[in-house]
Amino acid sequence: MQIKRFEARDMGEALRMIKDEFGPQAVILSARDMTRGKGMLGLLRNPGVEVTAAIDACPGAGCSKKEGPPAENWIFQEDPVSDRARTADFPAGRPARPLNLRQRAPMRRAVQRGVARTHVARNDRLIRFLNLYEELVGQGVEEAVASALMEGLRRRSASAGRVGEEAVKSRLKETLEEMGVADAVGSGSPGGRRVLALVGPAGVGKTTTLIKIAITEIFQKGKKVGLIALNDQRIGAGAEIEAYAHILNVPAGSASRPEELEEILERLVDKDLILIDTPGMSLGNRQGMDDLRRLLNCVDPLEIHLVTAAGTRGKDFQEIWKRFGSIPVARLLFTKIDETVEYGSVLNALVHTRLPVSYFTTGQEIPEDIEEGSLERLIDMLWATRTGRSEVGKECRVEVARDWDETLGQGYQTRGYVANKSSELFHRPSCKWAKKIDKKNMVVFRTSAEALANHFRPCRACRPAHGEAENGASFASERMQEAREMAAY
Amino acid sequence: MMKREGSQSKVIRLTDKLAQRAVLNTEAEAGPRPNTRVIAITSGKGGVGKTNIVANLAFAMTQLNKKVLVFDGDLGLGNIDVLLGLTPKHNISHVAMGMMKMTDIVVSGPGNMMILPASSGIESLTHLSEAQRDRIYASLRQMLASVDIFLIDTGAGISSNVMNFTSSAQEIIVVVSPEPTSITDAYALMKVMRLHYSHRHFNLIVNFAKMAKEAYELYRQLKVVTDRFLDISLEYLGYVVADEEIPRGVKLQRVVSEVFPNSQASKCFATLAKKIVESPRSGPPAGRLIFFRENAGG
Repeated sequence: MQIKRFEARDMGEALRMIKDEFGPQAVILSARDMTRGKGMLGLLRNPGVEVTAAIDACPGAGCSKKEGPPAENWIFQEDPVSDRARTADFPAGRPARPLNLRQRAPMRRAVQRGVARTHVARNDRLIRFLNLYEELVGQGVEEAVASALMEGLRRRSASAGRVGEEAVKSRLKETLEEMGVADAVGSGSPGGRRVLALVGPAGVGKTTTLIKIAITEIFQKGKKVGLIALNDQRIGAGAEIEAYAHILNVPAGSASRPEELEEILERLVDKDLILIDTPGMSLGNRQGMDDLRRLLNCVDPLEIHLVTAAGTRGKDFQEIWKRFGSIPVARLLFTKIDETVEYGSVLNALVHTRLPVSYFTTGQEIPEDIEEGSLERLIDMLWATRTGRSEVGKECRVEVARDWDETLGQGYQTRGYVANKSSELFHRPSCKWAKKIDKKNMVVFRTSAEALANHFRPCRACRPAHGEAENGASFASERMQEAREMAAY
Repeated sequence: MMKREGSQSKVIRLTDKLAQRAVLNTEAEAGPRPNTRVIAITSGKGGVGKTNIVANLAFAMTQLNKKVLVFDGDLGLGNIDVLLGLTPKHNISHVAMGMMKMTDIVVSGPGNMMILPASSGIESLTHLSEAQRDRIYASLRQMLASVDIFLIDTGAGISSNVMNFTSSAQEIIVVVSPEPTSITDAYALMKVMRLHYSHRHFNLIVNFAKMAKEAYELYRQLKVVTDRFLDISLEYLGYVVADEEIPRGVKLQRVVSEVFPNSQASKCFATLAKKIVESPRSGPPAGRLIFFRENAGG
């Protein structure tokens, strides 16, 4: 057995040192805050951490190591399967480690049990943070980012003894905000005309997302919307937008020169929201990028959203960011949330660009699979994947609403149904009984069938299981079906 | 471990075995008391205060009306007699050489505890031959009948002598001090006990602790490591506070618990003794004493 004390500026660094020296089997014995240097009146002190770790290099053949997760302090435990997966799938240097949900959850519970047992709560909290750090890194959060987050948590938790899950989450959010990551505050100014352009690499789902936004704005917020497609060389690129525009009965136009764009904008002057679709830019297409910039330059005011897939890896995202750097991007929009189980790269992107997130799109259904993005939502996603409590993607429809206003005030969820865990009934969001549901007991479903499948009964006042066609969403869905058929011709 | 070397030593051992069996036969009737507890106190690292803890625990136990026998297992460098201010005429070396019986060398210490002193400065005793060890075992066995608690003060290190004495006890108390070296040595000792002697249960006393919390934290840390790498159970008995009265007592060649009964350390010893005496016997069930099993570590 070997013991060593590691001093480092922050926990991330300490963990790296331990891993370098002892390897992944090491156990953390203790962790504590410390100040290095005894400057006058503490002025010259550096904050830091001191972590003691131990390892038994050869635990001995005769002694069978315990099967399954060790009781406590498993933080460096890596299961060989995911390790192999990492080298196979991601030969690049990024620490992308697929999280093995089934294995992590029981280990986490074991850790919590351990935490509850021990007496030295302060140290345990630090150790717990170290665990969290590992989990974040395991989800692809960059070590530097995770380390900064842990530092923030540590500072914020200096006084409190036990830290609850919600408290940790809200402190994570505070820390992120402190790091310059802006939370999305509404979607722009409520009044006034907005012009919104979606830019991004090819194939990330810009057009689909644009249509989702359009429908949400039209049917949930009653906005007057206009669509513009910026042409590229691709045949029929503008046709899709025009087909959708026809179905939605909104004006649309396509432009490939600044004059044309200005002319269309002139025509759409009475609209609340103008959505501009841009051609997908492959990374090598410098000429196209210059053209795009010239086109967008002549629109003012303009809100540019950079659209990328949530699964885009760190280096790729950096490259995209560099290419689109010449365009004044105001927001990030992540698509294909359902196609990844690691949200670390989303977090990295937010931290590096310091831009707020506008939307997450979560699937292929138009218009359902879009949600307004927020830091909270992102942290929830990270948390959910981390603890393996909810399935990712389509299956995670059933979720406890955090707040009444959030559930009903925001457009994207009014299409759904609200259920009460206490009464086991579900309602239309407009139902007067729906408004009386306690936040704690509220569950949101996308369709009445889902609610029924989860053993909720329909409310007898608003009859949510009947006549779905009255609902704006299904109306939109029907129209969308038409649009798809037309666009697919 | 003792290695089998050459046929010559085999012959010698055979004759020794025969002699020993004769001794055993005559003494078997006495047998150990079913309630006698055999506790080894060991540490791996030297200088963590084993002997002092043994002496004080023994005294504290006598105050609980227990009959205590202390065996100084540090055969070549024994000094519990020195610590207690005793000057025994005979010691374990006389038993090992077959000149005396155990009962002849027993001396009485503070609180009427009984002590089996070890020799100091007889190098050959630091590695006993199997015959000598068997002889010592056999005569120790006889002593068990008359006591409630049998404490073995083992030497430092993990030599076969130490490990044999330790493994022959029902209960093992590991002493650590708040130093990384002490922790790793304690761990190493437990590892060897687990791997080569199949001992799974250990108790821990933290010596030189500044306060209770520090001691418990030390236990927690050691437990984290044993839980992770060794398949053993480690129980926390308690701690002995770092008290300036202890070195004073040592210089006076008296037991701290006796001369400074109100010192903090004495209170720690009293608490520990009470806990040990009152705790249910760990290890094998009563009636199947493994003490001095003939194949101990063989």
